[in-house]
Amino acid sequence: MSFVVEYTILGALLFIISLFGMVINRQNIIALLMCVELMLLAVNTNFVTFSHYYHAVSGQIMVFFVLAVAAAESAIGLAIFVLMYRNKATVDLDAMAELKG
Amino acid sequence: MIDIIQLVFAQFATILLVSATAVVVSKNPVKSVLSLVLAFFASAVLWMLQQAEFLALALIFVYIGAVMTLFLFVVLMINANSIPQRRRSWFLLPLLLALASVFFYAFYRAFYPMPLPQAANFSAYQGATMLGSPENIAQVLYTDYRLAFEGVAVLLLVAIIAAISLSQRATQAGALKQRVAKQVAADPSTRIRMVNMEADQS
Repeated sequence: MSFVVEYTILGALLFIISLFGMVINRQNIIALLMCVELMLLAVNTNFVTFSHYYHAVSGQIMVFFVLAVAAAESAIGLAIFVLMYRNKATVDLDAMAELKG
Repeated sequence: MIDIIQLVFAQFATILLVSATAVVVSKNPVKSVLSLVLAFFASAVLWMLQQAEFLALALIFVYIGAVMTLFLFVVLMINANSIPQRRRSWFLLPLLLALASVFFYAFYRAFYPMPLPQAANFSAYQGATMLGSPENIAQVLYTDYRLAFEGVAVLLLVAIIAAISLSQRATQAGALKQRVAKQVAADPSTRIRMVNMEADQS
């Protein structure tokens, strides 16, 4: 048996939890990066579930690509984070308001 | 009689949800990162239950081994007092609840009025090899998706260059840096010297 409904409910709950985290941690850039990682994990769980359900390996290939892109994203995000901490000595996103009109 | 698979699923789904909640609500970022590691472990187990063995191992090695370690380094590098305190932003909560209910309504509509189309024969793969074994992944990845695979390689290269050039200290003494003005002002007369000399007679 393949638990497809249970797994998709789990993925939806995980996605909602990380969306909630994005809302309540709006100032903290590192918490936002972690919430993005959790969202991608939820999406990947759905891909894996349906890949198993249809016995097609293409869904897992898509997870592979998502993992690679997410690794690139978090590397660049953390580089921006370090740069921001070095220049402003804070990680508060409200301090990044130079483009505000 | 509860199946062992159901038991493992229930346990690790609980661990996943609890640790994801801990990631979100924890005030200490180090605890958040460690909870995220636990969430990745639990979902690696859940993926393994769905026969995604290569991806489950890649999640542990690449994600927990590399990306989460990077997160932990960066979190430990910064001063803990500079983490901003969470300000009250509960006015966004109704919006979030509305989004969540739309999400679950779409989910309900997608699943319950019509049953999922039943996939083809399950017994073909129920042998020694898992669906997501490295062999099966490689056979599809290196043939049907070879162009996308090359594209991901280029993307990772661009990410390396971007991360290095962002985090390099430009003002550091002796830093290797491109100086555009000197390059543009370069004169051939200072680079090449013409020498008259006798040809070798011997």
